[in-house]
Amino acid sequence: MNYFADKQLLVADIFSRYPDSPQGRRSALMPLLREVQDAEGFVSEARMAEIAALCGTTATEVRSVMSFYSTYHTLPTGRYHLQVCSTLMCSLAGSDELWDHLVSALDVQPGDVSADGRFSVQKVECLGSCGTAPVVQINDEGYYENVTRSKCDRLIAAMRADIPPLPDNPVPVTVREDGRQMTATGERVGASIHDRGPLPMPTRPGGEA
Amino acid sequence: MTVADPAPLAITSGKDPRFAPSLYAHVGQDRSWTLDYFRGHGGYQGLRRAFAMGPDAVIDEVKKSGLRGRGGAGFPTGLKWSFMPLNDGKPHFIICNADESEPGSFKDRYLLSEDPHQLIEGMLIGGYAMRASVGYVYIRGEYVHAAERMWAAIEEARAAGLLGQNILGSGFDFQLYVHRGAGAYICGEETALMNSLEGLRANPRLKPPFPAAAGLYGLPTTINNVETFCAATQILKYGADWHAGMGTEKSKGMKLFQISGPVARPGVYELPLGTTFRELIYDWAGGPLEPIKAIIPGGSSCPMLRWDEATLDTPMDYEAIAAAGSMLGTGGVTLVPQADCIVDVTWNLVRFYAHESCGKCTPCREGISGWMVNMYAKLVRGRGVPGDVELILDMSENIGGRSFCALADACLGPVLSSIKLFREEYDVLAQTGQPMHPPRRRWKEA
Amino acid sequence: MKVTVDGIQVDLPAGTSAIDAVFHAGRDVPYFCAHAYLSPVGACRMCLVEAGTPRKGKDGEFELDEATGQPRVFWMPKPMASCTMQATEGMHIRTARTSDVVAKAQAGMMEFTLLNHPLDCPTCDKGGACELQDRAFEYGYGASRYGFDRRHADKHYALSDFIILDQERCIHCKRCVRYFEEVPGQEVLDFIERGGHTFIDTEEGGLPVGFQGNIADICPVGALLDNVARFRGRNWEYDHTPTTCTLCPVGCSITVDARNGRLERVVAGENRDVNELWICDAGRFGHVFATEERLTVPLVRVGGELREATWDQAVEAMRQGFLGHGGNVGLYLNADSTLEEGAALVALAEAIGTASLDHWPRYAHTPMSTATLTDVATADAVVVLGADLGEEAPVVELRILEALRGGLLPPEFAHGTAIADLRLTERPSRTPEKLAVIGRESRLWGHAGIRVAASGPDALTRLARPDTPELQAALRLLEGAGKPVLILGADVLNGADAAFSAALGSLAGRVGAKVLALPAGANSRGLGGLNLVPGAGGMPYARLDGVGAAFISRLDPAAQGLPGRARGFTVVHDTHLTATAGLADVVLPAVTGYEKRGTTINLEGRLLPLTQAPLRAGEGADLIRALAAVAEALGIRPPVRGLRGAQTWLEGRYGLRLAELPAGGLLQPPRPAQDAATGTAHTPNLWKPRMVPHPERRGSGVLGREARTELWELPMAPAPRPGGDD
Ligand SMILES: Cc1cc2nc3c(=O)[nH]c(=O)nc-3n(C[C@H](O)[C@H](O)[C@H](O)COP(=O)(O)O)c2cc1C
Ligand code: SF4
Ligand code: FES
Repeated sequence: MNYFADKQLLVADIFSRYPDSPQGRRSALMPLLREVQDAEGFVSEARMAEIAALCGTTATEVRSVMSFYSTYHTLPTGRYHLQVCSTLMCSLAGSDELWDHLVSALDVQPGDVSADGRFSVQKVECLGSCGTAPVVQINDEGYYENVTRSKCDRLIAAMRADIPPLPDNPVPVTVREDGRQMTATGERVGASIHDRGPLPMPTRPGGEA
Repeated sequence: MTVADPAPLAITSGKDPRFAPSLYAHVGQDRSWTLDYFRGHGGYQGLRRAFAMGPDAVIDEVKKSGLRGRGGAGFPTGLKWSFMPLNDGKPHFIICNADESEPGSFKDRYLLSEDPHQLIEGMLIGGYAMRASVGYVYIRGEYVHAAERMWAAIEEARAAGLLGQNILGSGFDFQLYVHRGAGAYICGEETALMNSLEGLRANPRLKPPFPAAAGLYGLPTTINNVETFCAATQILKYGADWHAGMGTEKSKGMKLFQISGPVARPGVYELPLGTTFRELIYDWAGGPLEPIKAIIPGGSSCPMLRWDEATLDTPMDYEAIAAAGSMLGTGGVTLVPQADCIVDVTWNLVRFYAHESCGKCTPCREGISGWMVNMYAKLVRGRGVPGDVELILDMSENIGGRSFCALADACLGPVLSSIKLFREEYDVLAQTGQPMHPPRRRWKEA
Repeated sequence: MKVTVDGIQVDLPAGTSAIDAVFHAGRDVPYFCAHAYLSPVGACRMCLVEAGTPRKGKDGEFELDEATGQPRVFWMPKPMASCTMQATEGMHIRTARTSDVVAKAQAGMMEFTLLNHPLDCPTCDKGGACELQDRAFEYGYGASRYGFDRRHADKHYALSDFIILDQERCIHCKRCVRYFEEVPGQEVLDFIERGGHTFIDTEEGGLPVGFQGNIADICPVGALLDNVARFRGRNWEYDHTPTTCTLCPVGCSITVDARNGRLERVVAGENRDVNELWICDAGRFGHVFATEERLTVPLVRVGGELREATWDQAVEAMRQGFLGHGGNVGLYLNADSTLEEGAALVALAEAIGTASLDHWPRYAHTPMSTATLTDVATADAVVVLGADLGEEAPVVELRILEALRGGLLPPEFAHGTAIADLRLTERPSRTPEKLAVIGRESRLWGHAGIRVAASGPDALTRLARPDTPELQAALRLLEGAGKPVLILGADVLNGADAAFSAALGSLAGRVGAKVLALPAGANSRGLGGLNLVPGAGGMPYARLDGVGAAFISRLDPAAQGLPGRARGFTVVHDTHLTATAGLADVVLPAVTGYEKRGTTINLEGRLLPLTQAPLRAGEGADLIRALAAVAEALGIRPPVRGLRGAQTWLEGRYGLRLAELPAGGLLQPPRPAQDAATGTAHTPNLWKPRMVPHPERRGSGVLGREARTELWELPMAPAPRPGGDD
């Protein structure tokens, strides 16, 4: 079955973001791959060929581009594809132990899917969550951050029950409502940008006001 | 207060009573990502000023502000913008580099998800100044939440007439789209990013031609970091002089510093350039939680600095850190604990670069992705032999400055600096097979 | 522009790359990824040099060195890849000869390149002709310090029936990938994965047949190998004979590699004016007919059966057979025969007094061609009428694609074609709007901006007076262009006549187009020029049953559904026992185009030399000698004896001087050919059945799949394919 056959609007929307030229068509390759992967969990050869036709290129090129990036999969993943950051900042926060714990608790090796079809795991590189390490990303969705051992166990239990919690996406808030930052000792220091009125409009040319 | 107000003394401390955070002023506030909130806090005023000035004056304003690229290389932004050809009759593109993948960097992520309109405004200003008609925000694939917020903000802006035709009656037309990456650090390199956007393998391209002459789709293109565009928003809103009043002689303005590793309050702090490491680590981040031996000053590719008084007193600006033997990079500061084996720590980073090598050129593909990572694995597994460290140094000489792009050199940052600073740890490991600092538990229970 | 390399000053045109500056100065730099006809990419990093440039001061003059008064040279802080760096006025370059930094950098890079490269040179087909092997010897450390297992990957991965990939040997120079994208314009091969896991593969179920074989030539190592020639010999064991391919009228330069008298391999030669460095797959892999089931001795029909005989017996049999036919003898030869062979045949026909002589394939009427292949490659508009280039003249297709890529001809230096032409870029943009294809659907359609389905000679009339928007666009394309070229193929030429030529002439004249009418056979343009066609009352090839006795050289009318015999006595001269030979009274063994000396004229009118490769052909004789035997049987003195005699005849009659042609051939002014009805139409077909390798045939040295697999799998354990998720 043709995946995009009944999704003309979606396809048109993706193409509309890029120039109306052969090169512009080609730009749709990554968004189209993402669509398929989000829907099916992986990109099969048939889908590669379908995307190739849409982008005006060959299956060889699609596979070449796809295999370059680490988040596209050619093999099916579990319902929960757990991506564990293993780069230094997470590693300093214990992500190696977190990984070992996941692999043994879920009884699944990278590249495989657990027997119940629920879990697959992948080590990934720095997810940009160094301040809230360690981090696990589930599927093409949000992050679970500051994952301690007990949080990890809660997460596993919730996924086993198929009621995964919403991703956290915690924000390290450093500026208070009044627009000032607070030092480690709790002291509010500096000024607030809110107190600074905007500049008057300049007159052309130059910007002198 | 007017633009002409002279800044009597440069502001180089976040605690300076005159310093007010601006880039990060709204991050974390309720519904800060909505257009309503943004407008309620002076949003799109910088853009209005830009329209009133005219495009050339905008570039001059950015030049005058002293803003330098926040993506790592620190190239003067106004100058970069002025490289775009004028009246060449071709469509121009601007791209926001939101591929933030350098380990230790996590500032752009929150700007994207919490204050997307600040970026849209910055890109509108840049697009207007550089006569671009289309912009792309290239967001790394893993930042799903950020990409969703960004899309939503773009929709809002479009509905409000802030994107599209004849924006705010200025006659300026501009479209903005999000393009998501899919897990490849090299996409942060600007020419690789353009290849990725064109649906190709993200190998870096030959320069020249430079992007301003032939970039995306072979057309004039300028790429800037998220923080750079956001800073442009603030500069247009509060003036070049305000911006130039912060920081040091050559490193002007404010910067988002990120701190990670064993500290009390890891996170993102907006501080003027020239703030010392000491102030960031102790006054803002609450100090280290355990003894530290090295600081990675600006993302993992920046050479490590020894943890000592001199380093702590080093101002965090482009020149001072360079003088200390490293780079400001993205401003992502990581503390390396005393109790961890430096070879193991460096191995982790070498593995990262080995995994992220695009494979185009020989020294990086074979030297880093093939050999270097094996050397480290061998050392860490206790199978090293005397001479291995010399071999790593000699290999590094054959890799450094020989590769196609800067990724291979980036890997040598931690390699060479860790050997220089902690040679003893390497030698002991190579000779005895035993690390001076054995592996330990790091994972928190709760 | 003055550039100094290791102290040697050279004068170069602006835009020259540093690597070409080095070679032009007579110095050397190793390189793997750079390639004369491909875009420079700077991937292998072997070609490092130190470079420095003078700087201009405020006054616009070069800053001078106080001590010497010469411009001061500012050296770049690190070595630069010379293949991607443009040389500039006053630049100084140091190679490994004069710079220790460069020598060390190159030795180090060589160590990296060899890191994962297997040490199987002794069993590698590329051994002895391997750029890596040579350069490692010249520039390497001598020993690797890499103490780990090499990467293991598939060593016998078939990319197609013709090309075998050894993934372990690949050094990721990307030449093959760039070749497909830039030359035939096919995205059929690319890197998979990234970093140290990168390997090349196709997802098309095999590389398309057409121009795939060229990647075996340009692979600097033994990663991509010609499967037809696999395990057949080592490079130093081959006799290399540079000659001209006679499979189609392009006349590509090729090198025939033979070992112990057997043709084992054909590789492309360079002729900047004709095929540059590319040949088609038929020309490369289709040579097996020269070794399989060859006829090596004459055959004479005795008691209804063809029996092996000596040449003397064959001559005797011919003497008997020709008796009573007088001048009623027809002489027919294949249009890939040389000019010299044609001369011998014309001279004999004149001596006999027969008007029945002919070559095949040809057209009854051939319009005059005025365009060269360089004209095609540099045209700003090309209209192809009724041609299937893949069957008629494949390399013309590549030259058209070159035009669509900007029509850049590579500059030439003291060391030959520029190694790194910086005007060439990866994934070049093309201008399909400059190509219109009118005719039946073919491979070229994919590249054409204007496509019109049509058939028959009236396509020309329709183009001149367009009746559809597409045809109007094609005509407008011609009218608006400064250097348009019109290419005509079999589908229109089969029915062409003088009126057609007149119409063509008027259209071409009006729009200022040059014309390239593709000849039907490899040398039909040359043979037509000798008037080697039936005279008044003579029988054409398709009517050879109209003559009393016939001599048929390397043609197989019976297989074409044409009469396979003369009314009476029939002599066939051929390399194989064809259907026609099976019907003949006497069969004389012939030689293939690889075993001849002589000259052909290609489609643009270029004289091109054939050289004889040392192949064992039994008692096979070329046409000149076979005709001498016929003359002897007829009891007349052969009017042309030997190659030299034929050349003297040609010089005497046509002023052609063939003895010393320049290597790239020599353009000849067009010579109008006489019209003569053919009696049948020509259907172009490049791959003849005997060109496809059949391991089971007698004399085939090509290994069957099983034998190959056995050979491959003996020494090496099967390795897991890289791939999948991280
Ligand atoms: C290997 C490599 C990775 C890079 N990654 C990033 C990145 O993730 N984000 C970024 O903004 N710049 C990155 N850069 C720098 C960009 O190439 C480019 O200099 C920057 O986006 C320019 O923006 P700026 O002038 O605003 O700093 C990277 C450079 C290299 C060589
Ligand atoms: S240094 Fe070479 S292999 Fe590494 S990422 Fe850059 S181009 Fe690719
Ligand atoms: S980098 Fe390969 S030849 Fe220059």
